[in-house]
Amino acid sequence: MKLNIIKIFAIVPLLVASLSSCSSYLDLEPQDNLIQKEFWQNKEQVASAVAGCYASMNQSGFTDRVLKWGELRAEMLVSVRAGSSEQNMMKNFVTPTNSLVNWSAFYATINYCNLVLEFTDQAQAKDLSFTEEEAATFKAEALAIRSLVYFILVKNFKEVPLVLTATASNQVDFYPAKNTEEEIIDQIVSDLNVAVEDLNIGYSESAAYDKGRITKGGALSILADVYLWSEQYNECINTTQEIIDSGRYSLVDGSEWFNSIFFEGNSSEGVFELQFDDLNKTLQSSFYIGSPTYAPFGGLKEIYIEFLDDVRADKATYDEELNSVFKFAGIDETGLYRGNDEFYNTFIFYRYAEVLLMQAEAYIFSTENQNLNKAAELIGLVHERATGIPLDVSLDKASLSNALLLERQKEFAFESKRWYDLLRFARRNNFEEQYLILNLVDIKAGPDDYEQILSFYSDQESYFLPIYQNEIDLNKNLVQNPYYENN
Amino acid sequence: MKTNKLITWIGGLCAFMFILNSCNDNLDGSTFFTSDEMTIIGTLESNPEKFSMYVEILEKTEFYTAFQSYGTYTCFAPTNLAVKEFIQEKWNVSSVSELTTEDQIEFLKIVVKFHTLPAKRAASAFVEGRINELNYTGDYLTTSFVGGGGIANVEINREAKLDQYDIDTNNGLIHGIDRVLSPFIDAVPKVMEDAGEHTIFVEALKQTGYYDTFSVIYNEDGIRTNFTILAESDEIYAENGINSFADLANVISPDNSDYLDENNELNRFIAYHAARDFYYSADFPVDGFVSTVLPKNAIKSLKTDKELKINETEEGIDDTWTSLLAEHSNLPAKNGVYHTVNKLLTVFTPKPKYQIFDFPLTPAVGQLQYGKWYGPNESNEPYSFGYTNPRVFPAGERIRILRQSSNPSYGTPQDNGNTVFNMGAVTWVEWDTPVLPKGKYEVRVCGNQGNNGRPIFQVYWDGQPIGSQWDMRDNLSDVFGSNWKDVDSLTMRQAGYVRGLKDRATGAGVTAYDSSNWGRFIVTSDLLCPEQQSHVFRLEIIKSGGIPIDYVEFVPVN
Repeated sequence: MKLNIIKIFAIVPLLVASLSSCSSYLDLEPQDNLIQKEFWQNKEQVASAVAGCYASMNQSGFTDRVLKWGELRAEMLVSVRAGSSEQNMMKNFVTPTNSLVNWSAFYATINYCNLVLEFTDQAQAKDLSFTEEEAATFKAEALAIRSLVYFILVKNFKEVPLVLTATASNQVDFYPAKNTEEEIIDQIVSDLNVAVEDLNIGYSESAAYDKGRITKGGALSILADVYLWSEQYNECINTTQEIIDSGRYSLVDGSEWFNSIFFEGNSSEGVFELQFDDLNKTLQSSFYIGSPTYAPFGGLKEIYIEFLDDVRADKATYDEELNSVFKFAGIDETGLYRGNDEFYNTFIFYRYAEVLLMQAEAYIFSTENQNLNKAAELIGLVHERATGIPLDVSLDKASLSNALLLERQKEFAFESKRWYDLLRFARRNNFEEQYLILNLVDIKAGPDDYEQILSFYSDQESYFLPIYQNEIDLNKNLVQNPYYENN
Repeated sequence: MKTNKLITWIGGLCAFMFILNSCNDNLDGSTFFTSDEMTIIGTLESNPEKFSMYVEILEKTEFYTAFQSYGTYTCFAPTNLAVKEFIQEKWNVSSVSELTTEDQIEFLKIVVKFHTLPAKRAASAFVEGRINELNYTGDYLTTSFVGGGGIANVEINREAKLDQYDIDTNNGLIHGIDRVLSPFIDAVPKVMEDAGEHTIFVEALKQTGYYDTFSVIYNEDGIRTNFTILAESDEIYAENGINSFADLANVISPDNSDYLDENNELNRFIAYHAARDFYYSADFPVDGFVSTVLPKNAIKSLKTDKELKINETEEGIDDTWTSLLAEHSNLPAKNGVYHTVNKLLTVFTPKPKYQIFDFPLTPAVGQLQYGKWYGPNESNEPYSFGYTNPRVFPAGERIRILRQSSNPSYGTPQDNGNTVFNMGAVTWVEWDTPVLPKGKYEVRVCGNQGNNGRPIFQVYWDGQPIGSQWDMRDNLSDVFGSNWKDVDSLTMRQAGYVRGLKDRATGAGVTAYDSSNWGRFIVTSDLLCPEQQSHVFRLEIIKSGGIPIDYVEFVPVN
C-alpha cells in the first residue's frame, strides 16, 4: 500500500515536470530546418535562396494574378466558368475585398529577393570558394526579379510601398506607406542598371536554364519595358538596341511560331520564361480544353482575318471550331490538345518579338529620335514573319501607332500584355486616348448592362487596382487608392 | 493489489487533469459572441458622426430592436447631413427629437421601411434597374449607373448616391447614402407629369382617360396593380414634327376626336404604350412578347448581344426597331416604372414565332427565393402583394420555385440557373400566356416526369380541352424502353414526344436532350390561334400528384 502511495507521488512530479517544461521546450531549435543564423554560410545556400526567388514566382498565387491582371480588364478573354471575383474584374468592377487584388505573393517574392541582397555578402565572406563576382551575379538576379515584381505592381496599383530591406528582424518598418509611381520607377531603373552590369550574358547548361534565369538580356528587357511605361523613349531605344546587338536572340521562323515558342517553349526567341518543375497550374486551370475557365472573345478571329496565312490565327492562338485558347492548350495544327497533366508550359515574360516592338514604339513616340521608317521596319519584321506579307502602312505617327498596337494584340494575345498595352497607349498626354479603354465597353456589355460597365470604365483612377482591404486594415499607413475610398 | 493499481492510475489522472485545467482557466468572466461582427445597430452606433440621426429615427419608429436581433437586412442608411436636410425640408425642424406627432412618426416608419430590404444586397448585385427584392413598403428600389464614375457614383432611385457601401454586419449590410430616399407615393402618370419631360404624352394620357387608369395603385380587391409605360418625350415628338398635343392627335387620329373611345386611334396608341406589370429594361424578355394594355396586342422584345430591340421589323433587310433611352428610362413610381423610347412607338403586328413560357410568376412579384413556399397561408412576402398569375383551385395552395442544378430544367437569364415550378396536388392551375401572334402552333409541355407520384393532366385552352392527356408518370424510357435514345425523332413524334432541350444541362453537364425525364410532351400539333391575343392555359387534374412543371413551348406550324 505504501508503495502505491509512493507510486502516486512519483507520478505527480513527473507529470508536473514534463508539462511545465512548456516554455523551455519552445526554446528548442527546429531539427529539420535551418534557422536564419545558421543559414547564409556558403555559396550553395545563396544559390538555393536565389532559386527560392524564382520558385516563389511559380506559385499559382503569383502567376494567376499576372495572367488575370494583364488580361481580364481587357477584351481578349471571356468567361466560361470564371468565379465572381474574376467576372467582376472583367467588368472593371473591383472592390478592395476582391481577393484577386491581394498582393501578398508579390511581396513574398520581394522579401526573398531582399534576403538575398542583404545576406549574400555575409555568406561570401565566410565561404572562400565564393568569389565576389559570383556574389554580385546572385545579387543582380535578385535585383532584377525584385524590379520585375515592382514593375508589375506599379502597372497595376500605380503606387505601392517600396520595401527594400528584408523582413529578417524586428527592426524593419512593418507599416510602410505608399511610394509614388515616380519613386518606384526610379528605383527600378537604378536597380536594373546595376543588375545589368553583373548579370551573366547567358547559361550554357540548357535552354531551360538559359531562358529560366534572368540574364543580361532579361534585365534589359524589363528595363526597356519600364522605360516605355514611363515614356523615356530614348532610353528605351538604347536599351532594346543593346539586346538586339547582343545577337543572342532571333525571331523563330513563321512555320515554327506556335510549336517552338509555345508548345515546346524556351525558343531562340525567349528572353525570360519562368520554368515549372511541375505543371503550369495557371495555364492549365485557365485553358485546359476539358474545362476551360476562359475562352477567346467573339471578335478575336476578326483581327487576324485580313491576312489569310497568318500563322498566329486558327489552331495557333485560338481554335475557331471549339472557340478555345489554343496558344497554351494546343499541341499542333491538327487540333490536338494537351491533356490535363501535360501543361508543362513555361510562363513567358519577355521574348524577342516584344523587344523589337518595344523599340518600334519608342521610335514612334520619341521626340528627339522619332524614326517612323525604322518603326515600320521593326513592326514589319514581326508582321512579315507571321503573315508572309510585308507590312503596308502609311508612315505617319497615328497609322503606325495603330499598326503597332494591333500587331502586339495579335502577337501577344493572352500573354498578359493586352491590358497594359491599352493602358499605356490610353494614358499618354493625360489620357488623350482614353477611348481605347472606353471602346472595351462595346465589346463587354450586353443589352442590360451597358450603362453599368460604361460606368465602371469611366473613371481613369479605376484603371488601377485597389489595395486589398486586409492590407489596409493591418497597416495604418497605407492609404487606399483614390477611386476606391469607401467611407 | 488491483485496487491499488487503480488508485495509482486515478491519482495520476487527477494530477494530470489538474495540471491541464490550470493551464487555460484564464478566460473566466469573458462574454462570448458567435461572431465578433456587430449588428446593424451596433455598427450604426459606432459611427455616430455619420449615423446618429438615423439611429434616433430607428429608435423613434421602434425598428431599433429589429435591427439589433437576428435577421438578414439591407439597410440604406442616410447620413446625418442627409437626415438633417430631409427633416428641415419636410418639417422645418433641425433635430429628430422635435418630431413627436403621430403623423410624423407614421411617416418616419414608412421612410425606414422604404430604406430596408429583407435580404443582403451587396453593391456587386446592383444593376441598371431595380434591385431584386421588394423593400418593406412593397416597392422596388432602383440603382442606376448612368452618371458614370463607378460604384461610388451609383444613384439609388436616381436621387441619392452611395456614401459608403457594403458595410458588413452580422445581421445584414449597410449602404450609407447621402440623401433620404423619398418613399414612392405617386403613381406613374403623376411622376411623369412632375418630371416634366413628357408633357405631350401626359396630356394624351389625360385626354384618353388612361391618366386615371394608370393611377390606380390598389384594385378593388386591395391588390397592387402595376404598370410599365413606354413614352415618347417631348424631344422625341419634336423630332417627328409633333410639338403639342394637338399635333399628336392630328398625326395619330386626325378624323376622330372622341379620344375616350377605346376604338379611337389615339386611345389605342396610348394603350399600346403600357403593360400591366413591372418591366424594368432588364425584365424585358430576351426573345418574346410583353402584352400591352391595348387588348390583344403586345410589344415584341428581342435582346441581342448588345441591345434591347423593341418591335424589330423582321423583313431581313433594313430592319428597324425602337430602343430605350437609358438616361430617361427605368424611372420608378409607386405602381410601376416608365421608360422613354427613342422614336414613335406605333402599334406593331408581329409574326408568329417560337416562344417558350417558363411557368413563371409575374415580374411584379419579384424574384422569389428558391425553395421557399409561397401562398396565402404562408407568411412569406411577396405573396401578400398579390399575384394573379398563376391562379389555382382550390385557392390557397402553396407554390414554390425550385432551382436544382441536378436537373436540366429551363430557367430565364434572370433566374441564373435551372428552375422548376413546384406545387402539391391541386384541381387545376392556370396561367395567362403572353400575347401570341395569330397563327397555328404546336404546343409542348415539359416537367420532371417519370415518377408514379406525378399527375395526369388535361390541358384546357381558353376553357376548352385540347390535345392529348399529359401523363407525367411516364418518362421517355417508360414510353420507348431503355433504348429510347435510339428511337428516331419521327417515331417519337408519332407517340407524342420530342426529346428535351439541347441547350439545358445539369450542373454535371448532362443535357435535357439526353435525360429521359425531361422529354417534351406534344399536347397538340395544330392549335389554331385566329386572333392575336393572350390566352388562358390550364392544367386540369385527371389523376392527382405532386406537380414539378418546367415550361410550355409554342412552336409555329406552317
